[in-house]
Amino acid sequence: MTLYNPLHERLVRFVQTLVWDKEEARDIVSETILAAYEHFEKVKHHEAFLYYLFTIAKRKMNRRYVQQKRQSPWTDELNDKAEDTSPDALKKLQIKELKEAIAHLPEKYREPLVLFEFSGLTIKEIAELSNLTENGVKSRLVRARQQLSEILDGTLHEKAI
Amino acid sequence: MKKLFNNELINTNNLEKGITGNADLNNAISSVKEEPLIFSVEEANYLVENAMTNDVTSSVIKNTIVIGGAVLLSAVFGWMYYEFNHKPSESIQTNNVTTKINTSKSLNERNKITLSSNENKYSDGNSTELNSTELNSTTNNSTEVISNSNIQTTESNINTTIANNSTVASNNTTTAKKNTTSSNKQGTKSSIDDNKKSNSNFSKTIITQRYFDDGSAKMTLEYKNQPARITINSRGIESLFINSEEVDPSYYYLYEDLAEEAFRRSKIEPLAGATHDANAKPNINAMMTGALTRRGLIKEGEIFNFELTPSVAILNSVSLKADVHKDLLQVYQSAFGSSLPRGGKFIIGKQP
Repeated sequence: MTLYNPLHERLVRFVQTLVWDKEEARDIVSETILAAYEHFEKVKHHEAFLYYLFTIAKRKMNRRYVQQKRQSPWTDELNDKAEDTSPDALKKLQIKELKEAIAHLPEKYREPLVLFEFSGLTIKEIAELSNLTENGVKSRLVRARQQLSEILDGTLHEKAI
Repeated sequence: MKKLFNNELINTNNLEKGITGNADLNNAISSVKEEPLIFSVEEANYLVENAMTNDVTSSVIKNTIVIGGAVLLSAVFGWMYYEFNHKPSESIQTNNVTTKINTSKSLNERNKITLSSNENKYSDGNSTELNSTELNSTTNNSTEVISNSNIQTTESNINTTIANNSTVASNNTTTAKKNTTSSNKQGTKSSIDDNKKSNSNFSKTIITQRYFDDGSAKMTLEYKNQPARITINSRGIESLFINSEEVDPSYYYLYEDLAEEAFRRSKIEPLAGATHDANAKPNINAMMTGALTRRGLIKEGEIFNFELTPSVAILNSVSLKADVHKDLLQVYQSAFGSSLPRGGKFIIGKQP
């Protein structure tokens, strides 16, 4: 846990930003931790633990996403399940809209953005994790921000209408 | 309508965390970052400690069995040596059914029996008993080895019961002793009732959760401080193990909260009720009626006519939308176990 504890918040922020269902997110975090523990001997260098942990989390989320698509949608009311805990309503709406906008981003932009903005990973770390060059990550972050801007703009436009 | 985000352009050149050039967006990002964590670091530590304890326990049990076996063997040789070289021991008891060997390093000055292979001393002055008659009949009677030596763990002793040379069960001494299968059912039943009243002891810590291609899901939960393993599908519970004991399907109803939690987490629709035995013969009509009710297509107890074919679903002479039809075909498949064949028709009620 000496290796894990400093990364805990980063991991949980990563998962809870991408997975709105609180229980689902908790499951993914716990499964990730256990999988990391079970196969810990695969980590050759301690520095690699961060990539190892986040790679497991990414796989778990992808599997859940595929699973969710296959499952009956009768309980899927993701919008209602978004957990808003900030004090004022405007902030809550902003958070909800931001999360919706992030959810609408293509995966290749969404993931680097969340890792960068919410999990606090550096560009170098994201590059390592995603098998990209640092410049590749930067360009994805730029495009992610551009698209985020367009989505939020579109939302404003729709609301104005 | 009030704008949630102002029209400031988002700066795409400055790649600094949380500095986008749009004040509202910056605020929203920092708000998201300030949201409380859904999973605390304490929970994570607990989860890993739990997993570690299980691993250590199993290795301790293995070691204890090996050491226990060695001690037992040593005792036999020690006794044989003693029998052939000395006069008969005063410590023979003939009425006990089990042999208890205490490996704690206790000494009794009056009767000392030195084991041949290690330094442990046995004495009949303590609770330790070494019975020559029983040692000869080990194969017929059960032999219980209680080891008080701490191996790897710092906390407690491990009781290992070996019956007919095979391990039956092992528990930490901190937990209640394992009952026999027949009495365990009874015990479980009463404890469930008690817990239902107090609505406690249900831990939401998920240990594992697996999905299978046939639409079933298997998960391990901590239920009333005991490991529970449940496999479910749309038709109900496939199997349920509490503390490694398989629960008889006729007792599934006692675990309603556990089953409901499993269905809720796996997002599988319990077509026949959460505690239904999935291996029992399915009542497709009841399942479909329940599914139609849950979807708000009919009311509870309403008399209706329903027809489902691979190409159309008709409820009370009204053709249902394509997505509803597709959903109901999926319900049929989950309930029946196979899809509705081409040209097949499923009917509830009288059709015109």
